[in-house]
Amino acid sequence: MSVDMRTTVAGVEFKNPVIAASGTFGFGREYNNFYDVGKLGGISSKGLTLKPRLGNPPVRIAETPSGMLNSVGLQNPGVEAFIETELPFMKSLGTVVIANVAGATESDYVSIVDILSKTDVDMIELNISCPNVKNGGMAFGVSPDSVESITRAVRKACKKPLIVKLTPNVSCIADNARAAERGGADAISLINTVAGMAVDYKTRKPVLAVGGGGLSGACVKPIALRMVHECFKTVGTPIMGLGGIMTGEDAAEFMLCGASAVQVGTANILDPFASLRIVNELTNLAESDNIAKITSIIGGLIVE
Amino acid sequence: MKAEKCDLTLKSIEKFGNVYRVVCESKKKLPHMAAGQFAHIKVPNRELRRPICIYDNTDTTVSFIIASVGAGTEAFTAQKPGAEFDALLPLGNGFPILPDVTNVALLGGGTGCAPLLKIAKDNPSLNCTALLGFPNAAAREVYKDDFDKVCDRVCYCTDDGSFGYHGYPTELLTEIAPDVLYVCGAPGMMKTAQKFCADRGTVGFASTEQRMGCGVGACLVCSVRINRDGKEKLLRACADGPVFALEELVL
Ligand SMILES: Cc1cc2nc3c(=O)[nH]c(=O)nc-3n(C[C@H](O)[C@H](O)[C@H](O)COP(=O)(O)OP(=O)(O)OC[C@H]3O[C@@H](n4cnc5c(N)ncnc54)[C@H](O)[C@@H]3O)c2cc1C
Ligand SMILES: Cc1cc2nc3c(=O)[nH]c(=O)nc-3n(C[C@H](O)[C@H](O)[C@H](O)COP(=O)(O)O)c2cc1C
Ligand code: FES
Repeated sequence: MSVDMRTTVAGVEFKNPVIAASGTFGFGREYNNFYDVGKLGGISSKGLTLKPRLGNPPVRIAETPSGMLNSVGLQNPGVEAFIETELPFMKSLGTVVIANVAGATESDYVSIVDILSKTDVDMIELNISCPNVKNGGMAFGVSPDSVESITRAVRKACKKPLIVKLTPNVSCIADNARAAERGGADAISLINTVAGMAVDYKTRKPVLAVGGGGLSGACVKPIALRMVHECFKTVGTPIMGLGGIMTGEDAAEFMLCGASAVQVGTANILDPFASLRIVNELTNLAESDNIAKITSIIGGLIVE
Repeated sequence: MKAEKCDLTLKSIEKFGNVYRVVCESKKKLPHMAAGQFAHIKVPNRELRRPICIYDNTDTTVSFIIASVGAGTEAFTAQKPGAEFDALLPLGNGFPILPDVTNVALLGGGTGCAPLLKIAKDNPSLNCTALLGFPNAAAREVYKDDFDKVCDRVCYCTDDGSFGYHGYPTELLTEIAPDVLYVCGAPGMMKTAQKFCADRGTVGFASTEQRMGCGVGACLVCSVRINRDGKEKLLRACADGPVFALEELVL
């Protein structure tokens, strides 16, 4: 029996629920040299800003137990270069194209979303959760009030389905999910990275040049699962779940907790074939459990 | 030269102090590899892969010179022959070989000598002089007589004078007066080499190092500072490098 792997988020249909997460997949070019990335449900672009950004000085990566820290700091070519050189390529892949956007001010966010609304990106993901930039980024994503107001401001300019990406570095994730929903988000994605740091005892310095960074990988999965579940219980907005997904079974766990689709980040960095492998594993898992439609497991967590 | 994920088996591993000479075997024919390219190797019980230069290769083998400097390289070099792992290879841009130039110097320090061997080996028409620096005589043994076999001249240099020239290999650059210089070593060596090339108008290429994530150009964690087109840029060591024009490096 073949499983129907399609899923829909905010009116956009995905051929399967596995999306490559922002910042770990570039614009799809590099991994397309290893396999046809059009086989994925979607790709979320590297975080885009109005003007090109160099990002933070190196060192920008540290290995941690079952995970990693990064402090890239939104290095990207800027939205215009994205539209000119990367978007046509991404659109040629035959998969859903999500533009992940970031800014230092509210008006940055509004301008960039306005610009992208005039292109053929399929969805826009609002990154108000990057822990690696001094201005903006996570600052907009921490208090529910600011989540609501930036979502509302962007919503007015946004002609595309709008995903708001939430940070886990908050006191009550459900409050922030509700705020995004009130502001007009069509979907939410969570989690972005967890603020953290690594220390080199020998040099007595932080490993990352800027001090702290964002933690990702298998170690954050329990945090992410719980947050996805809390949001699913609280809001009606569809959810893209991510954080530490390494296998098809991990993806299925997120769907049980309420995710309509999942994103895969760090796993790509560890293994270039990870996202494709996860699609295949999830398909096989559903097949062996006689699941006809993958969407039937969404929110199926049994809590006694 | 598309990179592939290759299944490798450890064929032999020889220890020279904290540096290991590792030969790996593949059941399938391995892709073509150029001097200066690297492999991104899966290490037991570690999350991230580790980038290691391709030292030498045949159709079905690839060898590495690996210094055990931390948890990852320690775990890798603790493996025994027969151990299986995978590696992405070949990655990055290797050393450009310029047409019509024959007088070439290979300047390396310690494990930094590793990426240079294939320049001489793959280009027999070049007239290569290797200037190889080590702390002491024991530290050069991991290379056996590999450089002597493929270079026209090899100058081993030791900091303590226990073998060859007593001093830094950069001190011999003026005497050799190469047309092209290929370098891989500690920042001090790179700086001296950069100045030498700038002063004399010599073309130089350097292999850089940066901590890496994906190794293929997607995650942007491996940026190195590069001066290009009159501007300082952050380029990816893995995909834009690891070899850059020496004059472009911000050291
Ligand atoms: C393109 C490239 C080619 C390389 N080729 C070789 C080679 O042929 N032989 C060899 O022995 N080493 C090589 N290296 C360096 C090697 O990758 C690092 O020594 C290794 O990743 C350290 O891992 P670890 O877990 O043992 O050390 P860690 O515990 O991670 O760190 C130990 C020390 O190594 C340094 N370090 C960590 N990662 C890197 C890195 N990616 N590059 C440079 N320094 C690092 C740290 O700053 C620290 O001082 C290469 C690096 C690059 C980028
Ligand atoms: C190197 C790196 C760069 C990232 N860059 C971005 C980014 O530009 N925008 C964004 O919204 N998230 C970014 N993220 C966060 C991931 O998209 C993801 O939310 C997080 O890593 C958790 O998922 P994972 O454990 O599967 O990696 C980045 C993560 C990593 C590791
Ligand atoms: S290591 Fe990922 S871009 Fe270079």
